Amino acid sequence: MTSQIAILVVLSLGQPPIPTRPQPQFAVVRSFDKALGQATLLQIQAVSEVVPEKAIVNGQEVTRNVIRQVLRTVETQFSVEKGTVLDTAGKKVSAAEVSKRLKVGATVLVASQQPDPLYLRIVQPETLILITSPMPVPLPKLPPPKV
Amino acid sequence: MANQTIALLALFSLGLAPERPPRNPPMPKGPQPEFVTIQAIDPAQKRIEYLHADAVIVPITVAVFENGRQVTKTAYRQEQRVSKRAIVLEKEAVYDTAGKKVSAQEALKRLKVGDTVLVATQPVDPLYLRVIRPGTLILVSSTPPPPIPIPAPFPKDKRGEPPPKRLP
Repeated sequence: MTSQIAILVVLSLGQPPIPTRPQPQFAVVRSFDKALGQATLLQIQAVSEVVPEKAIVNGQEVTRNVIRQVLRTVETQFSVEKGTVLDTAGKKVSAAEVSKRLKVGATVLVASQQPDPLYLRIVQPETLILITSPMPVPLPKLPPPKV
Repeated sequence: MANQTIALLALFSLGLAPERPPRNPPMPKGPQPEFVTIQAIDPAQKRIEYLHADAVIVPITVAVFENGRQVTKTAYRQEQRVSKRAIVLEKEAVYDTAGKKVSAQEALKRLKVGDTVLVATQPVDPLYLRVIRPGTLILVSSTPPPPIPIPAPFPKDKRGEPPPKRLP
Protein backbone atom coordinates (compact mmCIF):
# COMPACT_ATOMS: atom_id res chain seq x y z
CA MET A 1 0.00 0.00 0.00
CA THR A 2 2.78 2.38 1.03
CA SER A 3 4.76 1.48 -2.08
CA GLN A 4 1.70 2.21 -4.27
CA ILE A 5 1.34 5.66 -2.71
CA ALA A 6 5.07 6.26 -3.19
CA ILE A 7 4.80 5.31 -6.88
CA LEU A 8 1.83 7.67 -7.33
CA VAL A 9 3.72 10.49 -5.63
CA VAL A 10 6.78 9.89 -7.84
CA LEU A 11 4.61 9.82 -10.97
CA SER A 12 2.76 12.99 -10.00
CA LEU A 13 6.00 14.87 -9.29
CA GLY A 14 6.61 15.51 -12.98
CA GLN A 15 3.04 16.54 -13.64
CA PRO A 16 1.94 20.17 -13.59
CA PRO A 17 -0.57 20.92 -10.83
CA ILE A 18 -4.22 20.50 -11.72
CA PRO A 19 -6.86 22.64 -10.02
CA THR A 20 -9.35 20.51 -8.10
CA ARG A 21 -11.79 23.23 -7.10
CA PRO A 22 -13.89 25.49 -9.35
CA GLN A 23 -12.58 28.72 -10.78
CA PRO A 24 -14.05 31.99 -9.53
CA GLN A 25 -16.23 34.25 -11.66
CA PHE A 26 -15.92 38.00 -12.02
CA ALA A 27 -18.69 40.31 -10.82
CA VAL A 28 -19.12 44.06 -10.48
CA VAL A 29 -20.82 45.61 -7.43
CA ARG A 30 -23.81 47.50 -8.80
CA SER A 31 -25.13 48.76 -5.48
CA PHE A 32 -24.39 48.25 -1.82
CA ASP A 33 -26.76 49.02 1.04
CA LYS A 34 -24.45 49.28 4.05
CA ALA A 35 -27.34 49.44 6.52
CA LEU A 36 -28.85 46.17 5.27
CA GLY A 37 -25.50 44.67 4.34
CA GLN A 38 -26.95 43.80 0.95
CA ALA A 39 -24.95 44.03 -2.27
CA THR A 40 -26.24 43.72 -5.82
CA LEU A 41 -23.76 42.06 -8.14
CA LEU A 42 -23.74 42.06 -11.92
CA GLN A 43 -22.20 39.27 -13.91
CA ILE A 44 -21.93 38.57 -17.59
CA GLN A 45 -22.47 34.85 -17.97
CA ALA A 46 -22.41 32.46 -20.87
CA VAL A 47 -25.72 30.63 -21.05
CA SER A 48 -26.41 27.59 -23.23
CA GLU A 49 -29.04 28.03 -25.91
CA VAL A 50 -30.29 25.65 -28.60
CA VAL A 51 -29.87 27.14 -32.06
CA PRO A 52 -30.45 25.61 -35.50
CA GLU A 53 -27.28 25.11 -37.55
CA LYS A 54 -26.85 24.07 -41.17
CA ALA A 55 -24.47 21.20 -41.80
CA ILE A 56 -23.52 18.96 -44.71
CA VAL A 57 -24.26 15.28 -44.01
CA ASN A 58 -23.55 12.73 -46.78
CA GLY A 59 -23.32 15.56 -49.29
CA GLN A 60 -26.72 16.97 -48.34
CA GLU A 61 -27.43 20.16 -46.42
CA VAL A 62 -29.34 19.45 -43.24
CA THR A 63 -30.44 21.67 -40.38
CA ARG A 64 -29.69 20.34 -36.94
CA ASN A 65 -29.98 21.82 -33.49
CA VAL A 66 -26.81 22.50 -31.53
CA ILE A 67 -26.12 24.12 -28.18
CA ARG A 68 -24.28 27.44 -28.30
CA GLN A 69 -23.15 29.78 -25.57
CA VAL A 70 -24.78 33.23 -25.53
CA LEU A 71 -23.98 36.08 -23.14
CA ARG A 72 -26.50 37.27 -20.56
CA THR A 73 -26.24 39.87 -17.82
CA VAL A 74 -27.23 38.27 -14.54
CA GLU A 75 -27.99 40.22 -11.36
CA THR A 76 -27.58 38.54 -7.97
CA GLN A 77 -28.00 39.63 -4.38
CA PHE A 78 -25.39 39.00 -1.73
CA SER A 79 -25.92 39.40 2.01
CA VAL A 80 -22.75 40.39 3.83
CA GLU A 81 -24.20 39.16 7.14
CA LYS A 82 -25.39 35.77 5.88
CA GLY A 83 -22.79 35.09 3.20
CA THR A 84 -19.11 34.26 3.47
CA VAL A 85 -16.37 36.51 2.15
CA LEU A 86 -12.79 35.31 1.79
CA ASP A 87 -9.52 36.96 0.88
CA THR A 88 -7.12 35.46 -1.66
CA ALA A 89 -5.37 33.51 1.11
CA GLY A 90 -8.66 31.77 1.94
CA LYS A 91 -9.05 33.69 5.21
CA LYS A 92 -12.56 34.76 6.22
CA VAL A 93 -13.17 38.52 6.08
CA SER A 94 -15.51 39.87 8.77
CA ALA A 95 -18.80 41.53 7.81
CA ALA A 96 -17.58 44.84 9.28
CA GLU A 97 -14.41 44.69 7.19
CA VAL A 98 -16.40 43.79 4.07
CA SER A 99 -18.71 46.78 4.64
CA LYS A 100 -15.63 48.99 4.72
CA ARG A 101 -13.98 47.51 1.64
CA LEU A 102 -16.92 46.78 -0.65
CA LYS A 103 -17.47 49.74 -2.97
CA VAL A 104 -19.99 50.36 -5.73
CA GLY A 105 -18.32 49.78 -9.08
CA ALA A 106 -15.65 47.51 -7.61
CA THR A 107 -14.77 44.21 -9.24
CA VAL A 108 -15.01 41.18 -6.99
CA LEU A 109 -14.82 37.45 -7.48
CA VAL A 110 -17.70 35.12 -6.76
CA ALA A 111 -17.67 31.37 -6.32
CA SER A 112 -19.89 28.65 -4.92
CA GLN A 113 -17.00 27.39 -2.75
CA GLN A 114 -13.45 28.45 -1.97
CA PRO A 115 -11.73 28.70 -5.37
CA ASP A 116 -8.64 26.64 -6.09
CA PRO A 117 -5.45 28.41 -4.87
CA LEU A 118 -3.93 27.78 -8.30
CA TYR A 119 -6.37 30.31 -9.76
CA LEU A 120 -5.92 32.81 -6.94
CA ARG A 121 -2.16 33.07 -7.58
CA ILE A 122 -2.87 35.69 -10.26
CA VAL A 123 -5.48 37.62 -8.26
CA GLN A 124 -4.62 40.91 -6.52
CA PRO A 125 -4.28 40.25 -2.77
CA GLU A 126 -6.87 42.85 -1.71
CA THR A 127 -9.61 41.28 -3.87
CA LEU A 128 -12.71 40.06 -2.07
CA ILE A 129 -14.11 36.62 -2.90
CA LEU A 130 -17.83 36.32 -2.24
CA ILE A 131 -19.02 32.79 -1.63
CA THR A 132 -22.53 32.53 -2.96
CA SER A 133 -24.96 29.66 -3.17
CA PRO A 134 -24.42 27.91 -6.49
CA MET A 135 -26.33 29.74 -9.17
CA PRO A 136 -28.76 27.44 -10.98
CA VAL A 137 -27.49 26.98 -14.51
CA PRO A 138 -30.43 27.27 -16.89
CA LEU A 139 -30.46 24.26 -19.16
CA PRO A 140 -31.38 24.87 -22.78
CA LYS A 141 -34.72 23.59 -24.00
CA LEU A 142 -33.89 20.15 -25.31
CA PRO A 143 -36.10 17.77 -27.25
CA PRO A 144 -38.66 16.14 -24.94
CA PRO A 145 -37.16 13.12 -23.22
CA LYS A 146 -38.47 9.77 -24.40
CA VAL A 147 -39.93 7.19 -22.04
CA MET B 1 -10.94 88.12 3.58
CA ALA B 2 -14.53 86.86 3.07
CA ASN B 3 -13.52 85.16 -0.18
CA GLN B 4 -10.61 83.43 1.54
CA THR B 5 -12.90 82.21 4.32
CA ILE B 6 -15.39 80.84 1.78
CA ALA B 7 -12.61 79.14 -0.12
CA LEU B 8 -11.24 77.62 3.08
CA LEU B 9 -14.72 76.43 4.13
CA ALA B 10 -15.26 74.92 0.66
CA LEU B 11 -11.97 73.08 0.82
CA PHE B 12 -12.68 71.90 4.36
CA SER B 13 -16.16 70.66 3.43
CA LEU B 14 -14.76 68.75 0.44
CA GLY B 15 -12.62 66.72 2.78
CA LEU B 16 -15.46 66.07 5.18
CA ALA B 17 -18.13 65.29 2.59
CA PRO B 18 -19.02 61.60 2.62
CA GLU B 19 -17.80 59.66 -0.38
CA ARG B 20 -20.69 59.23 -2.80
CA PRO B 21 -20.93 56.03 -4.78
CA PRO B 22 -21.13 56.49 -8.53
CA ARG B 23 -24.74 56.54 -9.75
CA ASN B 24 -24.16 54.30 -12.72
CA PRO B 25 -21.04 52.26 -12.04
CA PRO B 26 -19.28 51.14 -15.21
CA MET B 27 -20.15 47.67 -16.35
CA PRO B 28 -17.90 45.31 -18.31
CA LYS B 29 -18.77 45.17 -21.98
CA GLY B 30 -17.56 41.75 -22.94
CA PRO B 31 -17.47 38.20 -21.65
CA GLN B 32 -15.36 37.45 -18.61
CA PRO B 33 -12.05 35.67 -19.10
CA GLU B 34 -11.44 32.22 -17.70
CA PHE B 35 -8.68 31.02 -15.42
CA VAL B 36 -6.62 28.15 -16.81
CA THR B 37 -3.41 26.38 -15.86
CA ILE B 38 -0.76 25.58 -18.43
CA GLN B 39 -0.07 21.88 -18.87
CA ALA B 40 2.51 21.84 -21.68
CA ILE B 41 4.54 24.23 -23.82
CA ASP B 42 5.94 23.38 -27.25
CA PRO B 43 8.47 26.17 -27.99
CA ALA B 44 9.12 24.92 -31.54
CA GLN B 45 5.47 25.14 -32.57
CA LYS B 46 4.76 28.01 -30.15
CA ARG B 47 1.91 25.91 -28.85
CA ILE B 48 0.46 26.08 -25.35
CA GLU B 49 -1.72 23.36 -23.85
CA TYR B 50 -4.04 24.15 -20.98
CA LEU B 51 -6.86 22.60 -19.02
CA HIS B 52 -10.30 24.02 -19.61
CA ALA B 53 -13.49 23.30 -17.67
CA ASP B 54 -16.37 22.83 -20.10
CA ALA B 55 -20.04 22.70 -19.27
CA VAL B 56 -21.47 19.61 -20.92
CA ILE B 57 -25.03 18.34 -21.01
CA VAL B 58 -25.32 14.67 -20.26
CA PRO B 59 -28.35 12.40 -20.42
CA ILE B 60 -29.31 10.63 -17.21
CA THR B 61 -32.11 8.25 -16.38
CA VAL B 62 -34.52 9.21 -13.66
CA ALA B 63 -37.26 7.18 -12.06
CA VAL B 64 -40.57 9.05 -11.85
CA PHE B 65 -44.08 8.07 -10.83
CA GLU B 66 -46.77 8.49 -13.47
CA ASN B 67 -50.34 7.41 -12.80
CA GLY B 68 -49.14 5.50 -9.76
CA ARG B 69 -46.55 3.55 -11.77
CA GLN B 70 -42.80 3.96 -11.63
CA VAL B 71 -41.37 4.71 -15.05
CA THR B 72 -37.82 5.47 -16.13
CA LYS B 73 -37.21 8.57 -18.26
CA THR B 74 -34.25 10.29 -19.84
CA ALA B 75 -33.48 13.71 -18.41
CA TYR B 76 -30.55 16.07 -18.94
CA ARG B 77 -28.07 17.45 -16.48
CA GLN B 78 -25.26 19.99 -16.86
CA GLU B 79 -21.84 18.81 -15.68
CA GLN B 80 -18.35 20.31 -15.62
CA ARG B 81 -15.76 18.35 -17.59
CA VAL B 82 -12.10 19.23 -17.74
CA SER B 83 -10.61 18.97 -21.21
CA LYS B 84 -7.23 19.79 -22.69
CA ARG B 85 -7.15 22.66 -25.19
CA ALA B 86 -4.32 24.17 -27.16
CA ILE B 87 -3.48 27.58 -28.55
CA VAL B 88 -0.81 28.45 -31.12
CA LEU B 89 0.68 31.75 -29.99
CA GLU B 90 1.63 32.91 -33.49
CA LYS B 91 -1.94 32.56 -34.74
CA GLU B 92 -3.62 34.12 -31.71
CA ALA B 93 -2.94 37.17 -29.56
CA VAL B 94 -1.41 37.56 -26.12
CA TYR B 95 -1.97 40.65 -23.95
CA ASP B 96 -0.76 41.82 -20.57
CA THR B 97 -3.05 43.27 -17.89
CA ALA B 98 -2.47 46.79 -19.24
CA GLY B 99 -3.96 45.73 -22.57
CA LYS B 100 -0.58 45.82 -24.33
CA LYS B 101 0.10 43.15 -26.94
CA VAL B 102 2.83 40.68 -26.05
CA SER B 103 4.75 38.97 -28.85
CA ALA B 104 4.72 35.18 -29.16
CA GLN B 105 8.48 35.10 -28.40
CA GLU B 106 8.07 37.20 -25.28
CA ALA B 107 5.08 35.13 -24.12
CA LEU B 108 7.08 31.92 -24.55
CA LYS B 109 9.87 33.38 -22.43
CA ARG B 110 7.47 34.35 -19.66
CA LEU B 111 5.21 31.29 -19.58
CA LYS B 112 6.05 28.15 -17.65
CA VAL B 113 4.27 24.84 -17.22
CA GLY B 114 2.00 25.08 -14.19
CA ASP B 115 1.44 28.83 -14.57
CA THR B 116 -2.04 30.27 -14.29
CA VAL B 117 -3.17 32.58 -17.09
CA LEU B 118 -6.44 33.98 -18.38
CA VAL B 119 -8.00 32.93 -21.66
CA ALA B 120 -10.66 34.81 -23.57
CA THR B 121 -12.27 34.94 -26.99
CA GLN B 122 -11.75 38.70 -27.34
CA PRO B 123 -9.64 41.40 -25.65
CA VAL B 124 -10.70 41.51 -21.99
CA ASP B 125 -12.54 44.50 -20.52
CA PRO B 126 -10.17 46.36 -18.14
CA LEU B 127 -12.84 46.19 -15.42
CA TYR B 128 -12.11 42.48 -15.02
CA LEU B 129 -8.38 43.00 -15.04
CA ARG B 130 -8.45 45.38 -12.07
CA VAL B 131 -8.35 42.36 -9.75
CA ILE B 132 -5.60 40.54 -11.66
CA ARG B 133 -1.95 40.85 -10.71
CA PRO B 134 0.24 42.78 -13.13
CA GLY B 135 2.43 40.47 -15.16
CA THR B 136 -0.36 37.98 -15.79
CA LEU B 137 -0.75 37.04 -19.44
CA ILE B 138 -4.08 36.87 -21.24
CA LEU B 139 -4.33 34.46 -24.17
CA VAL B 140 -6.96 35.60 -26.65
CA SER B 141 -8.16 32.98 -29.09
CA SER B 142 -10.52 34.31 -31.73
CA THR B 143 -11.59 30.76 -32.61
CA PRO B 144 -15.07 30.29 -31.16
CA PRO B 145 -15.55 27.15 -29.08
CA PRO B 146 -17.06 24.30 -31.07
CA PRO B 147 -20.84 23.94 -30.75
CA ILE B 148 -21.97 21.30 -28.32
CA PRO B 149 -24.09 18.60 -30.00
CA ILE B 150 -27.39 17.84 -28.35
CA PRO B 151 -27.00 14.62 -26.39
CA ALA B 152 -29.13 11.78 -27.62
CA PRO B 153 -31.46 10.09 -25.15
CA PHE B 154 -30.33 6.70 -23.91
CA PRO B 155 -31.12 3.89 -26.34
CA LYS B 156 -33.67 1.43 -25.09
CA ASP B 157 -32.74 -2.19 -24.44
CA LYS B 158 -34.69 -5.27 -25.58
CA ARG B 159 -37.31 -4.71 -22.91
CA GLY B 160 -37.83 -1.17 -24.17
CA GLU B 161 -36.16 0.42 -21.15
CA PRO B 162 -33.11 2.67 -20.89
CA PRO B 163 -29.98 1.19 -19.27
CA PRO B 164 -30.14 1.11 -15.48
CA LYS B 165 -27.91 4.16 -14.86
CA ARG B 166 -29.37 6.17 -12.03
CA LEU B 167 -28.71 9.52 -10.49
CA PRO B 168 -26.06 9.26 -7.78
